[in-house]
Amino acid sequence: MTRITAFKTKYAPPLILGGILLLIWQLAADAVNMGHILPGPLQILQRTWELREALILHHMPSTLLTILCGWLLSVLIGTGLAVLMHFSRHIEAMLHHALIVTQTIPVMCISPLFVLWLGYTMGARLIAVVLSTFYAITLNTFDGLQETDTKKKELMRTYGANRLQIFLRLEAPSALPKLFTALKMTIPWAVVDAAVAEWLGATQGLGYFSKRMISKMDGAAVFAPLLILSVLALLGMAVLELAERKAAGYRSEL
Amino acid sequence: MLCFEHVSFTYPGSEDAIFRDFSLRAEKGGFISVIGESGSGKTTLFRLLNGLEQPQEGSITIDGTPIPEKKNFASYMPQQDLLFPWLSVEQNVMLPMTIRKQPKELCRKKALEMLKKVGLAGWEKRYPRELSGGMRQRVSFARTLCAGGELLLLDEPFSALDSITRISLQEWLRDQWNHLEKTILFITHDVEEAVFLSEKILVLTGRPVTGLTEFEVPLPRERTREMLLRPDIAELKEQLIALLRSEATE
Repeated sequence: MTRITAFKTKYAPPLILGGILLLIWQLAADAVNMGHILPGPLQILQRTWELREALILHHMPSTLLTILCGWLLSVLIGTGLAVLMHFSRHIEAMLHHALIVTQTIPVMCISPLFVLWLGYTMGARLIAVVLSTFYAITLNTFDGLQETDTKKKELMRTYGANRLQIFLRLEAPSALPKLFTALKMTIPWAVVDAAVAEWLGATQGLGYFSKRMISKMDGAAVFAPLLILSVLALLGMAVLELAERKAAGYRSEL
Repeated sequence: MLCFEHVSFTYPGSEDAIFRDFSLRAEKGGFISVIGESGSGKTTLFRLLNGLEQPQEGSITIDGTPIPEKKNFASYMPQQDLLFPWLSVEQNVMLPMTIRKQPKELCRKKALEMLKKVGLAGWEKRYPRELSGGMRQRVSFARTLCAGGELLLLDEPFSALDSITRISLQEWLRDQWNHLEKTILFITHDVEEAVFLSEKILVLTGRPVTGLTEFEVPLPRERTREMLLRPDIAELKEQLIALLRSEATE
């Protein structure tokens, strides 16, 4: 009974909305009847199935590698900067504006430069992914660290805890829920920017494939790799949700 | 023996002094309550004892040794339980000991012993969110005991609880103290609570605090709530309330 109620309140609404939107899309596509520029969901599914081998075995691994490496690098850089800023007021003052400036640069516009510097390499694509994701991680982690309960910090001090102990045992766990927020925010960005970077400079990958299909005027095949990217992003989110519940389920008690 | 001598203290950046030329002597082994309105300097008194603040003038000593040279002499129990939600009950209680890098097994043994003492044996693997407010305060008390100080500083530990839980925890704390060889310094703004719990009651006087008035509570070591109805106790309560009122309007 409770499972049915949970289904009704949690899963049914998005499924209904999604179903309706897909239906409208399909009907519109059928009415226009120009599959090469406006394919319907059914055509896209069909084309994805036809292209499954090339997409999943040939193009997905390289994209997945860009997403994961870029994102992990971003997590390392992002949390690293947050910790430095948390420990030193001077570093915080120094970095604060510089970091904001990095966020005013449209990654898509300067990615071609990375390609000019580094060629059609993974490195060029990683820079794009890191540039678009690290800031959200830095900002959220830094906030989480700074917002640690002062009373708990003082309690630790009365126990004789040193700065490092306070950081490891109190501040880091206090910031963990915020870090998870940032991780969940940035995983879709990493997916999108990995694809954009491939659009601009790659010889394989889902983004590259999608771009090539545009020149062939094969609308359904433009969408097919994007469908796979969406599934990857959703899978990533699901894994993170699960990890968050296991590791940082205390968000509401902080 | 705890000794404040000619202590003056002002919070950095503030104009108003909290203590001016303040002196206090407290014997070992007693249960002493400090009462006063909020803003009367009670919490600052604890912060000075904890080493969280340093007096600008005067000295605070324990058995003749200045506080900065003493280690682990005082254990502080805050108003809110401040349990860490990501740690189990047992890990929370072990915290003060693990910070001092004592061997894990020893910490665990001591924590279990303390949890048994506060009536929470069997709860060690649970998490704070699974406990009621009263139980959380008892865990917090067990953690305070594990901090190992001779002097327990309890800062309005029951003020956030409902009145029934509060009364039972007062009786429980009194009973605990009867079996512990510790000095308790207890902050409260509740006259009845102070009278029921303590041997001696201190009222901080003046703003800034320059002195204090002491009251002995004429109740035996083993006490019951009914004793609070005795005429001499009722009179003591009246005296305390009158003094607090005059302090508040000054």
